[in-house]
Formats: sequence, C-alpha cells, structure tokens
Amino acid sequence: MCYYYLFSSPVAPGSSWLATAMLCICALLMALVGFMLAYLLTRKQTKRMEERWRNIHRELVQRAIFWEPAEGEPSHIPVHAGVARSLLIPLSRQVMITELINGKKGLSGTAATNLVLLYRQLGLERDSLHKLASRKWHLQAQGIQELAVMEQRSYVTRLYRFTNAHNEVVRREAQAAIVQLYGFEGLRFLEIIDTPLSEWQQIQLLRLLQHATGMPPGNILRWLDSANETVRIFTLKLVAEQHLQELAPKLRECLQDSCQEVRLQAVRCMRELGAADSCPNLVTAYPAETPAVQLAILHTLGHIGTEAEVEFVGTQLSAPDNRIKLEAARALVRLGDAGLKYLELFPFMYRSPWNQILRQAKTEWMV
Amino acid sequence: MKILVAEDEPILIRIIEMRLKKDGYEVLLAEDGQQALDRLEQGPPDLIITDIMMPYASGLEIIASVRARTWPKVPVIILSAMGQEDVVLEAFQLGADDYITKPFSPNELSVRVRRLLTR
Repeated sequence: MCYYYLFSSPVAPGSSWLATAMLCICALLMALVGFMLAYLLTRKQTKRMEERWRNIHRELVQRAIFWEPAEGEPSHIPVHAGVARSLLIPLSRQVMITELINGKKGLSGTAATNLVLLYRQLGLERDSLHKLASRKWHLQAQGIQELAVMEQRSYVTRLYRFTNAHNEVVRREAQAAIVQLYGFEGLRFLEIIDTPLSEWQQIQLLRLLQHATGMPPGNILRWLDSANETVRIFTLKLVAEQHLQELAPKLRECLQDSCQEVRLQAVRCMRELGAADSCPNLVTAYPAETPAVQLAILHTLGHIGTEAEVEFVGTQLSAPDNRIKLEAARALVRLGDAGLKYLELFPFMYRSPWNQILRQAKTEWMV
Repeated sequence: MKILVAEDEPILIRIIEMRLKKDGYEVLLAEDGQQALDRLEQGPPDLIITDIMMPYASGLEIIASVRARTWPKVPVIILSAMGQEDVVLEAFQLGADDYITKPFSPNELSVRVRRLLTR
C-alpha cells in the first residue's frame, strides 16, 4: 500500500519520493548500527571493568578468608584505599557481593565468618536490602538469597514478609532463606501462606532441614489443621522425615481429611513411623477410600502390619482390581509366615491371574 | 610434595591453593575435569583433591583414571556438596580415601591433607 502511495502521488515524481524514502531507511539503519555499536562498546567496557574489579576483589576476599584479628584490636579486615574507592561504584559493589557469596557458599568455619564480617564491614547488606525494595522480582529474589547466604538474621522481618509474596520465585527464595537462617523455627511462615507449596519447594525445604538442629516447634499440630492443603501435606512429610512418633495419634485424624493427597501422605507417614497401632485405623478407613489410597494402605499394612491384619489383607485378593490383588499379595508376603500361609491356602492361588501375582510378589520380595 | 586440586569454582580453587601453599605444598591447579586428566598425564601427584561435579570430566572419572594407572597409591580427597551421599559412596568404591562436604573449612582441609600424606 505504501509502495502504491509513493509512486502514485500526483505532487512529487515517484523517483524523488523513492530517494527520500531510501534516505530515511539508510539514516534509520545507520542510527541502528550506531546504537548497536555504542551498546556493544559500553557492554565490552563494562565487562572489562567487571573483570578488573573481580580480580581486585577476589584478592581481598582471599585475604579476608585467612585473616586473623590481632590480640586486643577491633575486628576490622584491612581494605586497601583503592579497593575502598572502587566500592563507591554500584557495579563494583555487586561484583564484590558475588565474590563473597561464591566464597561463602563453599566455605565454613572461620573462613566463612570472616566473609560475613567483610560483607558487613563494607556495608554490602544495604545493597541487598535495596534489591528487596526493587519492583523487579529477580532483584528481590537475588537480595533475599544474598541476605540468607550472608546469614543476616537481623533482617528476618523484612525477609518474612516475602514468604507469602505474589511472585513464586520470590516467595520460594524467602521461604528457603528463613529456613536456612532459623531451621525448624523458620517454618512459622506455614501459618500465614495462602499460596500452595509446590512439590519442588517441599523437597527443597526438607533438604534444608535435613541438617537442622533442634526440633520442629510445638505448633506443628496447627499446620496439620491448616486450610492450605499443601501445608498439611508438607507437615506430614516433615513428621515422617523427623520421625515424630508423638504425632502418630494425630495421623489417624488425617485419614479423615477431605483431600486425597493428604490422606495418602498420612498413610505413607504411618509407614515411616512404623506405628503398628495405627493398623486398625487403616483397616477401618479402607472401604471408603479411593483406589490410590487403598493401594497405599495395603502397602503400609505390609510394612507395619502384624498377624492380626493378615485376614483383612487376604480378603483383598478377591478384589476386582488386579492392582489391589497384587498389592495385597505383596503385603501378605511381607507379613511373614502367617501371610505366606494365607496365600498358599487361598483357593484360587493356582489359577490365573493369582498364580502370576503370587510369583511376581515372591520374586520382588526375594530381590 | 605436589598436590593436584581440581575444582571449577574459581574462588574456591584459589582459596585451596593459598591454604596449601601456606602449608608448604606445591599446588597444581585444574579448573575442570579435563584439565585434571591432562595434568595426570604428566605424572603422579602426591595427593589429589577433587570436586565431584565439574565440566568435561567428573571427579569420579578422575579417581577411576588414577586407580587405573600403575602408580603407587595416590590418596584422593573428594569435595562434595551436601546431599551427594550416593556419589560419595560411589567415589569410595572407586578408591577415594577421604571426603569433605561443602561448605568446608580450609583449616580442616589442611589437617586432612596432612593426615593423608603422613599416613
């Protein structure tokens, strides 16, 4: 259409319009190339500066790691005037933070303490806090990470606010940071979050808690009653992981939960705790359950059940669903002599599919 | 005494180098697995400190390569991240002598190196 307009104009001859248009395009292209060149040059310059600062800061970080305070002198890591001057530039400060974080992640003991000391001494926590105030989610997440790695517990209130943030990455980082800094105590955010805890986040939190000292706080019971079903699921995983036997009675209540995933997790948790006295509750809950939970119950009964459960598990061999039959056979094999005897006396044991199921269950057990 | 350090985190490798040099050892650096394997071609070090997860070749490959040679036993210390228990077990099966979990203390590393070299 534009082409038509250019060549059909009654005012100017077509060639003149074309020349003007070409000139405009050339000017635009040149401006674009100029902009790209300027951008690349600036970027290159920035990279070079970053590299220079990285080398300078790395040296300071290395010295800080092996620094030992002299007797009776204040704990102050000596910083060369040139380095101090360069740290007035925000980019240089960011390079220093990155170096400190990389070092701190891999070190412990005095070396790590010294890096935290240097971070505070240079006032770099202000930069991290500044990121928290940013409207960009990736900067917020970065700031949270920095404060957590550098063990800045005094800013816990600021971090805590982000545990229920709208952005998932920010929320995830804040939750992990609080747990990293406060262990089990940090899990208090479970009481305020109204967004789901993703499966991945649950794994992350459990991993962070693996080496935490102390015990989960008393309000864990409240988390099991949380309106947020992912909090209930996570709490059950925590109960299983930490072997909190005292919560076994509460697990029976969880078998009545409206959410299938919670009930499933409660059954798995009972297996982990080895709470044999929970078996009658599992047997009672079984008939009203979904096939997924029924399979989990049979699996758990195979692990924590006693001779008393053999009869109940045995009746499931007649279930119409072959998966149930197989799980029941597995459970009976696990239940020992009484279970095996039941299998042998089962009237259809030598007919298909029971004969195949029994073979499968026995092979698995031997493996 | 010559110690080969294979670690891909630049700051950590420098720190380990500084600590070991302070203890009087000669330090050979490899910033990835392949570099470490190339260093091994030049002859046996007295001890190897290696990270497990590295570009081009893993710490496990380095251990396997060392153990496949007809050298007198070279002690190997693994640097592993937390939660890599399975890999650590595999490393021990391959013939690693000790392991340190990151985050680690350079002083602890120094003590372990000394203990292995005087064994």
